This record gives sequence, structure tokens and C-alpha cells, in this order.
Amino acid sequence: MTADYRTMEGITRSRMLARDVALRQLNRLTTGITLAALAALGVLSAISAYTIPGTATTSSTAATASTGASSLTPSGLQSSSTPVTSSSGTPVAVSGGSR
Amino acid sequence: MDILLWYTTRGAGAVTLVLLSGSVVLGILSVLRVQSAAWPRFLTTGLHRNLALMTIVFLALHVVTAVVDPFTHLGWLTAVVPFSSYYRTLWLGLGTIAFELLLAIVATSLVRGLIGQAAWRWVHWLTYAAWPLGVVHGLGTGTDTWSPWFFVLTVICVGAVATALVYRLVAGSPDPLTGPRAEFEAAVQRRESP
Repeated sequence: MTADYRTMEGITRSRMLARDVALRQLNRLTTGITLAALAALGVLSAISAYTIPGTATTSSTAATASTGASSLTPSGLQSSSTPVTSSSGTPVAVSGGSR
Repeated sequence: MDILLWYTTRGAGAVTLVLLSGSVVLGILSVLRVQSAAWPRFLTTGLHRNLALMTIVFLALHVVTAVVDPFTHLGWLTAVVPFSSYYRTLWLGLGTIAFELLLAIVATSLVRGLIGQAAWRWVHWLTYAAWPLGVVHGLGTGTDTWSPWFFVLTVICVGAVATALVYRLVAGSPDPLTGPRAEFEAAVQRRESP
């Protein structure tokens, strides 16, 4: 009876130890995979940037497009290169109009 | 800044594909009850669960960086409602469906005790739809689809999952109670039938 009890206790203890070892292994693997995934995120983002860099921003593209469009008049003649300046006069407010 | 978001979107998408494929492979191996002295069975299921949660984190990063990128103007609706995007409607819609299926799978796995084993199992079968949808989304909408690095990555992921699936089909059910359970069910049906 005592021997059986000791055997059972030994089996339980060994199983608990095996489970603890496996849990530590699971934690190590999870940490390793997390770090590897973060590193892969950086590396793959860098590779994607290197292979297909794309354009910088939308605003610069839009500015270039508008400048290019305004350089020609509908008749095909090149417009003046003088930049358009704002008026320094007194601003006029316009409101209403329904009556 | 927005170009950095675009690079992160593409990098996170690729990492998500790898993590999801790893999770699917481990899920299939856990069904097959693969184990050894150095690799107990619960290590497979534990790693499968952790990989799935990690997949959701990187998938969220992929979606958020794509939506907040001012260059694309995708909008949050695209991330929630399939096929609502003006940009590559079909491919992005497939990605949205895969995202929602994965959310459903992870959410039901977290509350498995509440919904029961049978309902959880049915929802979990959706993985076999979510994974190919994710792969097709990556191939269809991906900027890097034909870049050698992404193509090789996709081939490796598809090969790993296909190999695991074939192995599962060939190996059959390793459940030692399959036979007795089937006999019991047959006996119950015989008894219930008039």
C-alpha cells in the first residue's frame, strides 16, 4: 500500500516536472517567435521599401501636377512665369443674397 | 511618414501570412496528436494558440496602418464592410472577410467554455476558409506579389499548409476512441430506429 502510494506520488511528481519543463519551453518559444516576428516586420518592411519604394507624398505630387497644368494656356502658349501675388487691398465681405 | 506606413502595411501583411500559416500547420498537427518525448502534445496546442493571438496583433497592425495611411484614403469602413473599397474592391474585400473570420475564430476560442465544444468546432472550421482568403488577398492586392521575396514566402507558406493537410488526410484520425465511439453511435441508432 505504502509502496503503491509512493509510486503514484513519484509518477505525479514526474508528470508535474515534465509539465513545468514544457511550459518553460512554450514560454521560450513564444518569446522567441515574438521577437523573430518583430525583427521580420522590420526586415520585410525594409525589403519592400527597397524593392518597390513608391512615391513620397500626395501633396508634392499634387503640387507638381498643378504647376505643370498652369504653365500652359488652353491655346498652347506658355503663360507668364511671374508668380501670382495676393491683393493688399481691404478685404470685402459678401454675405446674404437671399433677399 | 505616410510612406513609412505603407512599408509597415506591406511588412506586417507578410509577417501575418507567415504567422497564420504557422498557426494553421500547428492546428493540423494538434489534431493529429503529434508528440514526442521532447515535444509534448500540449506544447503544440499552446504554441498554436499563442501564434493565433500573435497573428491577430500583426493583422491589426496591417489593417490600421493601411487605413490611416493618407495616401490610400481607404477609410475604416473598408476594414469592416467587405467589398466597400473603391480601390481593388474584390481583393481588399477578400482580405476583410479573412480578417473577420479570424476575429470570429479567436473570439470563440477565448469563450470556448461558454459556447460549448460543438459550436467552437464549427466556427474553427472557418480557418480552412480564412487562410486561403488571406493568401488570395495577398496575391491579388499585394504590391509585392511578384517580388521574388514575397513570392518565395507565399510558396513556402502554401507548401507548408498543403503538406500538413495532405499528411492529415493520409494519416486519418489518430483518436484511439474513434472505433468504440462509432460502434456506440451505431448501437444507439439501431436501438432508436423502429
